[in-house]
Amino acid sequence: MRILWYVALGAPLSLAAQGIDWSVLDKLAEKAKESAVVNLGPEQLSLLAGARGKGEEAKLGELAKLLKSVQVRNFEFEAPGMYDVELVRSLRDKVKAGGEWVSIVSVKEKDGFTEILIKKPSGEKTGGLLVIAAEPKEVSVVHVEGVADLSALGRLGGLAGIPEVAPAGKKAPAPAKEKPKQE
Amino acid sequence: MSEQDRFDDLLRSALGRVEPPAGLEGRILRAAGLRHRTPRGAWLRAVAMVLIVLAAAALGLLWRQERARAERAEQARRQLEFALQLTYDRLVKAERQANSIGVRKIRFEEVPQ
Repeated sequence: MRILWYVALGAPLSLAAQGIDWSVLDKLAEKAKESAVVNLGPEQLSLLAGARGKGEEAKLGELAKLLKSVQVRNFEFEAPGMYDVELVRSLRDKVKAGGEWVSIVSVKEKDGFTEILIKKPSGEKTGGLLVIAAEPKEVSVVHVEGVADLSALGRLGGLAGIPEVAPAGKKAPAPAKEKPKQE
Repeated sequence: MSEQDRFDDLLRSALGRVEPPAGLEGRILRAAGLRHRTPRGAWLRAVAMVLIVLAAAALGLLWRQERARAERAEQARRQLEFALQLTYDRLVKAERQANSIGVRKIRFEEVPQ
């Protein structure tokens, strides 16, 4: 079993406070063919925020200044049915039931779903973006804390192989699927 | 006095104990002390060497810390890029799924619940 672990060394994030029970997802890692885990806290993001340079590096630095934390769980399985999609669905329902997160895109399929949720900033609480996607052979959950709305994602254009945001009426080209290098 | 006696006297006077001049012992000891004392230049060289070693060690430590910081930053950069790429992939996939059911463009607006 090939496992990709992208685990940052930063301070543990107060996951419970964010209403996302990551332990549910971490159980899936045992059955996964490939796993990718990212935990970026303020310390790691500040390293990027201080990056000097031009182009992509500078853009990434600017984005990192806005973000508070980034967490990713991505699991790929050998075959369909190797994980319980209900587990992921219950995670989504629990997050939505918390009331903080608002679903902006919800795509239901026969054997999976994709849910995109945002959390509006209020008071001292920062905004956030949460993507939960369950496919027959893949589960992805991305939590980005610090983005107030999806317009912030427009800043991703040109980063990490993501095309620039296409002008109105023009469709942005499909992204080049690229896996991170194995460590 | 025979020739033999003169030779004996000469030999006796040559081999006889002669008292050193007054103050000779002190002069010798002072000279020896001066020779053992480290010259000022040597002290300066030693201090300079110590400072150079300390500076090199400090620079080495700073370089190692900077390298470790750069490695952590690089790891964080790759992780963030991966997260962004995955987010983008999912957004595009959701848009494609929406397109397949006739939605031309997803307007990212909050839906009242």
